[in-house]
Amino acid sequence: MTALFFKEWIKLRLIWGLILAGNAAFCLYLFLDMRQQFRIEHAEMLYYQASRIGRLFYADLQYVPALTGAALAVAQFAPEMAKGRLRLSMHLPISLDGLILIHLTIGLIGLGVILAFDLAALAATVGTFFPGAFVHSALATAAPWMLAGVAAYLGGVLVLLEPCRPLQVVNLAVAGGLVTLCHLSTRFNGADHALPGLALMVGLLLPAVLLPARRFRDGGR
Amino acid sequence: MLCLTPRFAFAALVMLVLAIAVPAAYTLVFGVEVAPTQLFYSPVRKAFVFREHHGAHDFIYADQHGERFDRRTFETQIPFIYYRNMDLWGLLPITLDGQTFDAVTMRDTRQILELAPREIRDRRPEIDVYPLLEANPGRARLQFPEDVFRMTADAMEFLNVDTNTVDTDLTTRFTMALTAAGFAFPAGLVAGKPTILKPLDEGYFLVDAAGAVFHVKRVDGRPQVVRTPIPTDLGIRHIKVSETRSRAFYGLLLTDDARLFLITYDAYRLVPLPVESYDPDRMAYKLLLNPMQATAVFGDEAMIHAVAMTRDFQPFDRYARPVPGTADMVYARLARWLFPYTVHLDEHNGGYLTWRLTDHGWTGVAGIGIALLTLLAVERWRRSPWRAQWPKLVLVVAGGLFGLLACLLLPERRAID
Repeated sequence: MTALFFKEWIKLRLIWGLILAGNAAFCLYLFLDMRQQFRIEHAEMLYYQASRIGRLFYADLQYVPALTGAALAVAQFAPEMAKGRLRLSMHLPISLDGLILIHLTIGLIGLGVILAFDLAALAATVGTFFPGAFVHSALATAAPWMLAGVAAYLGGVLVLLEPCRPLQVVNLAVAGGLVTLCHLSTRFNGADHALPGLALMVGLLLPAVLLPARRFRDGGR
Repeated sequence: MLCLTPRFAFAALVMLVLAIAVPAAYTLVFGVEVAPTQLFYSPVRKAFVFREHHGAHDFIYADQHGERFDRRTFETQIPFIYYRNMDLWGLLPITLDGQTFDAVTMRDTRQILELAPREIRDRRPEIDVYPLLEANPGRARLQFPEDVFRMTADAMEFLNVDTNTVDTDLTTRFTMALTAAGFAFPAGLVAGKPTILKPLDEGYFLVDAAGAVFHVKRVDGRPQVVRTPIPTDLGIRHIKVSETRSRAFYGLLLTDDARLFLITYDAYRLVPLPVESYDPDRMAYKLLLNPMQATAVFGDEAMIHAVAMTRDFQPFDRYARPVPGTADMVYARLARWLFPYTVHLDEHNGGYLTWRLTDHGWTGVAGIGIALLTLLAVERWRRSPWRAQWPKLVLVVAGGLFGLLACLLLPERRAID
């Protein structure tokens, strides 16, 4: 198991670092953009826009987690599927489900670190200009976007592991549907009540990923 | 069973996504929008008049007795609503019951108050930070102050918006003024209209920990706090403040048991409004005021109700009629057969995305039967062994068309799965 972690770390560290750097650059942009707004506009108007009109100053962040999740899935599983390299790992003395779940654990830890960084940066940015209530609201508003990141990662794996093209399209539609549901709300705290149900649906992706993995092992049957 | 788990998880996921997406796509392609019925009391006709939409461009204008008229005639029946058109058509001033009204009088004496479910405090998200406007701005328009306040466990705390730091001086002054008036922290409800797009500012109504209602304003930079005589045991759910130049009513007060009151400028006296058949979680309540009478109108997707009242809010006539809606249209009837239920994830009557399940009763069950027969036909054509089909049967029984589609989209199960 340690060897698998090590193998995945060696494979992912460069691209993971690049994705993290990309997220950091985006968060810096988010901070500078909000600082610029406070420079050119009266603060009381920005408070009004944020709390009453419902303007989300950090709305640009919403698709970043999904892109991050999808990129990480491709970085981790595209090389495994190229020329069927995953089959080599299948010779290890570990069950197929165990093998895939270890891969997913590594990917989810990597994704979790990046998403936690995004949330921390969001809290720091909003907290610099607004009081605590706005920070809590921003974190709750961004929660379904983070969930979309997990859905995009697991959905990406679901698509990549599937050996049959038409079923890849089905898996892509399911993953896309889930990511879309996570982005349905356009207002702050709008998804607070929907989050448990969305989390449950995204949670179903975890065991579902084992299905295409088994089909891959069995040669696409 | 364990070896079924990935298939079950995937099938359940596909079915859930389909249960949301397919009815939404169906409605997008075949759905018909029907505008809500508009119902008024006509001071001209002394009867209720309405505009009813039956889809496309089919509008009916009529009164409660069934007499139909054209759009222009309809508008002349409710002159306090369409006073500007009446003025353009040269029909003003108008004399009703011995009183004569011109356009200016009509404009200044009419008022509309509305409380929609999505406005109620517990049905929408809110960031509990508010601007307290200067009620005497000394200029033509209201303007936002450079501070906001929030109610903490023991203070009305002001923050400077430029520095995002606590303004100790303002915090102390307003907290002391509240405490001196008998305010018991923490606050239970903060109700105001934090916008400068209104003619004047009446500050905020604060409900304290004991249920007492306090009225707080900023006048010439100083706190003005009034402990109102509104009963503490009312069980206040929401207060909607609605400032107008007429200065007759501060707004509407809704209680936990769905009673609705007007808060008057006359020593904060509460005027009870008719609420029979009113459900604040489903219905928007509209109160139309003019110098002759008041009309309360409220309803949902099925029925609309109206109560006509004298100017001192004594009901003298009531009327209710079904809303045409879309339920009887062909596409809606077909949807009830096709889909056993619909999963909605939307902002229904509120500001939060919520999960809702709409079941379609016996027609939905019949739809499940049709889906089952379709599945059996497909599997017979595929010459699939019957024993291997029970998980699919379970899926179709649970999801009807959605389950059937999930079965067709799922890869065929191998013995090794």
